[in-house]
Amino acid sequence: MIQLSLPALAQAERAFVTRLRLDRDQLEAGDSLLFESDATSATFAGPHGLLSIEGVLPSDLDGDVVLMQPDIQRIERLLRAGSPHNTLLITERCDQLCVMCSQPPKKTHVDRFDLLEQACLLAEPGIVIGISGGEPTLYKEQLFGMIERVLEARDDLEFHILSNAQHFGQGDVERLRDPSFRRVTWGVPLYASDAVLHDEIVGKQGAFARLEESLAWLMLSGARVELRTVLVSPNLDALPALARYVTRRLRFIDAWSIMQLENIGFARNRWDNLYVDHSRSFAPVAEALTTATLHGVPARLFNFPRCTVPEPFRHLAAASISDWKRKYVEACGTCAERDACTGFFEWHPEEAVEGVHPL
Amino acid sequence: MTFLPLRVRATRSGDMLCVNDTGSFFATTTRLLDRLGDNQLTPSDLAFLKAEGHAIDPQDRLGDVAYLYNLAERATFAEQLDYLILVPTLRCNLSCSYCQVSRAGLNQPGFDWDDATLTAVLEMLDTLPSPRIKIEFQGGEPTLRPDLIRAVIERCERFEERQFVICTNLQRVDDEILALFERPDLYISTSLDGDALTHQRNRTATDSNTDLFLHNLKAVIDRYGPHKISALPTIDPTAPPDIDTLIDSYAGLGFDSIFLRPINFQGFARKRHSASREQDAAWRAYHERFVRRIIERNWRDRSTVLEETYTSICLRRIFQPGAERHVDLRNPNPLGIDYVVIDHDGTVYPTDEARMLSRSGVIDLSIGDVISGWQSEQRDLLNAHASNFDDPACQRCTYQPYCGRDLVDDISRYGRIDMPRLETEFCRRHLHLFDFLFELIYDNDPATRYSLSRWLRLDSNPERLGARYT
Amino acid sequence: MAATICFAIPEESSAIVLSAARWIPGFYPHVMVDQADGEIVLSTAKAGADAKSLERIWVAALATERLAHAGRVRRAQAFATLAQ
Repeated sequence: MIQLSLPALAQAERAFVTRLRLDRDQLEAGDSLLFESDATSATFAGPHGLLSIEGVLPSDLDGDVVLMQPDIQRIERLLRAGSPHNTLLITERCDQLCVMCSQPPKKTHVDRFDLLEQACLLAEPGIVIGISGGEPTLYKEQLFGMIERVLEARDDLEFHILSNAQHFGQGDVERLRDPSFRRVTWGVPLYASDAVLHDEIVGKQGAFARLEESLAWLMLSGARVELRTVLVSPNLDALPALARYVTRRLRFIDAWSIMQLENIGFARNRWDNLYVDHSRSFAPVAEALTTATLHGVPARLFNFPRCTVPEPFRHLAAASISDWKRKYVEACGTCAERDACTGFFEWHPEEAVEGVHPL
Repeated sequence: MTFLPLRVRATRSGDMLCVNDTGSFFATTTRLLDRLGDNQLTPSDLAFLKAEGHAIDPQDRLGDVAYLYNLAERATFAEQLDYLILVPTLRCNLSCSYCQVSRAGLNQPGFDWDDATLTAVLEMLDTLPSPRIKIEFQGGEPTLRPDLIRAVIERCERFEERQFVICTNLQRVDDEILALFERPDLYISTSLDGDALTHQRNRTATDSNTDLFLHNLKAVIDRYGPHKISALPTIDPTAPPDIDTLIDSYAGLGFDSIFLRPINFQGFARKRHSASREQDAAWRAYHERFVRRIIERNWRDRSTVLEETYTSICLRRIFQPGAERHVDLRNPNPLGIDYVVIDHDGTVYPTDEARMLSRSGVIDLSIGDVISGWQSEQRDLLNAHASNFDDPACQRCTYQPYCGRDLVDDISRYGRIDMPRLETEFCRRHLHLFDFLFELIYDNDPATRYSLSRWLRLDSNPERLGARYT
Repeated sequence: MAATICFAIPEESSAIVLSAARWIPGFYPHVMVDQADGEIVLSTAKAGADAKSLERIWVAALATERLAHAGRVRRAQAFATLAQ
């Protein structure tokens, strides 16, 4: 497993962002250059003075954009060089309480917008930067401002922003219509087309109605939306109706991702009540996929190991699990489709991998 | 007030087919429509209609915006010129029975692009703003001028996406032509009218020409596989070939897509065949038998999936708006915007059909030439009528969302574009075709569902393709 | 087998009913429409067509016409958004 946070010491007293470099020739403003290293630590020198990071080879950090927080003596690897899975956490506050939340919200908010914006500006060329929470649009004004400034300064970057879409309004339409927002995709969760069921799953009354309103504004804005549906026991049988709903009312979406559950956060304690063994009950998923395909809505399966998906639908199973939390199990050793397969979450329970077989 | 953007058609099989302005649809019985007429819709009627987007409440903002979005999704927005049909020469080394106007003799001078025309074509290519280009080389027989084909292709290197199609009779496939065929962005299109005898009667005339064609056809299929090359049969609707023989001659070569194309009689030929309306009906019956036969064969032998190309395109248009870019069926269908035909003398036509009509002397439909351009008031005037949106008949038609508009066809047949829509052959043909398709969509026969599911590119065979509400 | 059905033309909706009748022969070429004594007469000589199939055609035509009339303003606005 790739470590995203590492112990570190710095001369500076305040938090700062820098990009780590091994090669002097690559050095640009804001970068820190490797100064010395030994078996247990690597020390970099840059505009914020010396920064010493422990427990990692300097070559693994080359090009990473890191956030150093002297108060807790750790760095956070915000944007790892060469990784397609970089996500910035905007806040840990959220106004929904989804039953399966992988990152349960906290009440407090630490404003790091300035630091995250600096990080974006140092990003490798041409990457997609993930934005997540908590709920990023709780700080919509700051979020939009950051996105706009970064996209203005860097026409090579794109953003993928996870949002519960409880806060979009008519007033956002003109702003979101700016062509630069074509480089922003909103990942929006929708669990059922039945308002009561959706509200139950997200733990907020009226959420479905507010989501529909936001989706109308997003559609009018020409926004790019990836609709995300996590599969849990309560919505399994509601998937075909949801597919119908999507193909009628949400045709504007760029993609629909049907996602298998991650055994972390709230889902860990509720696993037995929430987890669907899709290899045994694939019919509703198949019906949903077929409805979507029939009506020209591109649907994909996220976090579905390929061997657990019936052959006709296997090509829809994307290698979606982020590199830093992906694992394969013993049976995957000889599988011909391993490279195209999502594998398992690092924290996936061992008992839930039975039936996995090489293809 | 709740808005119901629906039209209703009584189908041959006894259903009431209700189609939304945006193309989504369901089948029902007269009872629902009676309740609707009497303002007696039940709560479950309304719940169904709202969920499916067939009833839009004023306070349902998402439903309202979705209606507008889905409506727009059905419309073509032709903007940039990115598709050219080029006729570098009108000369041909064959003399097919139905091709008197679009060819010149093999050695006739003055039927090839001259230097000025070539230069103008190449300079025009340089000005195109689109990052994509599709070019079809037609004739005449374009392989008589590989030098011109090469010059055009070389000039297209700057485009991010390129696709070239050479429409050839495959009488000449020498090293120079093969060097062109080797390009992965180049496709071959040819005519194959059925078995060797039929093909020879219609096209190749002599045994040696026929042998040469079949030899070359097999050679390119062996070399590149059946997906680099497509073939179309041209069929005389007054004497169509035996269906199985035609299918066999295609399937035997590994072709799975057969685009049935009736000879389009022009000018005198049309007058000679004055009973054209009955002929059109006979053609539609033949087409329907052909598609039903393909369905049977697909069910019996699952190793290949055959399709009649146009049927398949129309089926996908019903379910998957935006999936097809077929310029013969789209709405609006403006002329001279995103694609044009450039003839051997540099004259520009809006469609290949327009070129044929002009050559046969029926009416001059040229819109300009490649040197001085083709922006004209006449073109803009025609294009103001290039959609089916506002036509009162189309607005009452269940198939408006899937259908298109063909100004050139109307002009060629009636000499005018304001013929009542329901009296045009374009309308009769598509009304029939969509009737037939909906009969198939609501057919519970597993063989039918199997073929339709393949034509729709589905991964499984859903229990039903069309919604039903009772 | 030939079939014929008749409908009275209700005064309060005669415009819609007459318009519905006018469109029928275009959409269903085997059906003839006549108007006599305040009634609309649909008839067909097509083999296999019966009174029931004519009734369905009438219901479809009438529903289409009513919906077209009721939704004419909203539909015109929507289609206007498609003008290029």
